[in-house]
Amino acid sequence: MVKPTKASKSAEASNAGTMPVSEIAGVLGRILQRHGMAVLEDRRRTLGLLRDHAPSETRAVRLLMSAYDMDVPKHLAAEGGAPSQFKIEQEVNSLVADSGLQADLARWAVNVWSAALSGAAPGGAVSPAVVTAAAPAAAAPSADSLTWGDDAPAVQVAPTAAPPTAPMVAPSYAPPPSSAAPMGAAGVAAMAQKPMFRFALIGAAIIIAVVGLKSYLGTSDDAPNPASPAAPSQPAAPAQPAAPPVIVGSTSEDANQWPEFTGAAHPNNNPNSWQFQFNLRFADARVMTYNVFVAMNANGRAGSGSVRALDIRYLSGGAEKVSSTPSLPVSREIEPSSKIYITRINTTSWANNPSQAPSICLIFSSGNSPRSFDPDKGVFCAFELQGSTCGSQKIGCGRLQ
Amino acid sequence: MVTPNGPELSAAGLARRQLHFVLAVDCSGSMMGDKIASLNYAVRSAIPAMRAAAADNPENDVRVRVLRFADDVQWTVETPVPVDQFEWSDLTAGGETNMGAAFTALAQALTPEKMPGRQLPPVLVMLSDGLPTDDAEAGLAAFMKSEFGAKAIRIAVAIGSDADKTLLQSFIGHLDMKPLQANSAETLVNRIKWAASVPMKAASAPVGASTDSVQNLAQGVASENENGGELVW
Repeated sequence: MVKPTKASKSAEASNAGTMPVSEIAGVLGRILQRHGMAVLEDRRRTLGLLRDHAPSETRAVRLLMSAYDMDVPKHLAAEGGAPSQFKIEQEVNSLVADSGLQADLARWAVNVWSAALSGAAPGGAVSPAVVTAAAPAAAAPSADSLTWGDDAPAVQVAPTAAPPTAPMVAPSYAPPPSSAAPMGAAGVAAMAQKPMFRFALIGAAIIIAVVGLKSYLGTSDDAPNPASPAAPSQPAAPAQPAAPPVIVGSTSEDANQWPEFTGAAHPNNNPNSWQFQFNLRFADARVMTYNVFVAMNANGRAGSGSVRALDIRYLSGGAEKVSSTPSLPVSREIEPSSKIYITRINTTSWANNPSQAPSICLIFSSGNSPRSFDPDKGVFCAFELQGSTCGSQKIGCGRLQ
Repeated sequence: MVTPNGPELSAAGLARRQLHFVLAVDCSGSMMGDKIASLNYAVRSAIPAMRAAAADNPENDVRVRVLRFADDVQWTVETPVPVDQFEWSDLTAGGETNMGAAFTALAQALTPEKMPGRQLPPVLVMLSDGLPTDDAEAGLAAFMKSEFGAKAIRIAVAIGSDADKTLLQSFIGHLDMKPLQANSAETLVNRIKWAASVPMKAASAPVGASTDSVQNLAQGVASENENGGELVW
């Protein structure tokens, strides 16, 4: 069993240590910088270099070579820069399907390769930002703590308090370790902080977004299924004490009546990714809190995301009750006149669902740039999900702050 | 008697033949920790066996040299030292596995110019756990073309279960002789002790008996490998 180590330890001593994921991505990046991408053409040399530079990381090296044998680095390098989140998800899925690796192991390997290749690309450097892109792997179990073929959930999310700056409007739990977000224009987020930009759009954006949402739904191919019941089918709620009063999404047609949910953020400080949470009350009176993570790929039209949900009755010590989806596809449309971006993710499947969270069709709006997300302009609506399509029954809407 | 270096032979050289025993040690990063520590211990503890083997053949002048390779190649014992004066200085590990450069350095060292006088085939022992990170094949080709490279008795010890035995087999160049496998500290000590003494005896065998000596050596290698050893590395 490998034990933790500190960088300050001697090289010999580090033989017994565990190298953090970000560090092994840095090691791999330095190998690629020193020897060039051509080294990847030679398997023996690649393996030898990894073993020489990370001698104590036997399992990590094997994982990376498993990904290498499935041409993951070749596919990622073909992207010509920082791989998109979509590409990363694609490689993870392929690796799981083709090699039989457990999903979290596959994701770990792909993220490390992605971070290393991004840093080793021409003109690139293994910067902290790039290494941070592998943070999901770091947040997820280290390679050494992972197991081959283990069926245990990839990540356990423990309930935590809401951020101190946010008013208590919603139950909150710690954000899930996000998948590696694509590297993007780091300065875009700053634009959204400009007061003039914000105030000029606050009022109009909400209205336009709602119109956009309604328009979008009206023209969507996802027409309601006439055979479906009027309300989403909900699993029977277990007998539990009444849930504490919380703010939940509104079914009002008046956007001014929609509650505000705070805590929206860009994971990894990446303006092309979103993370936010909100609460929904269902027909069976259960209140679920949903935590949504979305990352768009380079073209801004598609991406991937994941959703976690928790019945708020389990907020205290209910980490094992957190439901989570696998990686889900995300699509985005633009409302041409207002340039409001409307993004959609459907929880068509759950990796595990101990909270018996109802599936939802979630649509939310973001700013007037494919990469900006001004929380003041964010609105969302959750609808029933009928099969894999969006139904007409609104569960709740809110504003994202 | 005609020898390759006949015109240059001195009276002293005619009296005793030299036998160069060269240790080439992989000191790359993958050898860090237990492996390099075990190797240091093993070589140190093998010295008495080396001296005993040399003492069994007093007509031969056994000289020892040590080459380490990692990011660079360095003779830690550059001038061949009589075995009874040989002392081991512990090696440290770190860097990449430039085994090709090590082969090249051996080729440059094992020449008639640098090994004057009557010479027995040198004994080369390659100790490595790793996969070469440079062009090892080119270095090996240069080595095999060298005067004494092809004639040498070449022994390889593969440290760990995932060492590149294919390349080490190419280094040995004899189908009947496989790399000695060492998968634990204890086994490594035994392998190095064996490699430091038995091949020396084979190299000291009279001319004409060399074929039998190689066969005996191959059998010895096979027998040594049969001992197995716990799979630790």
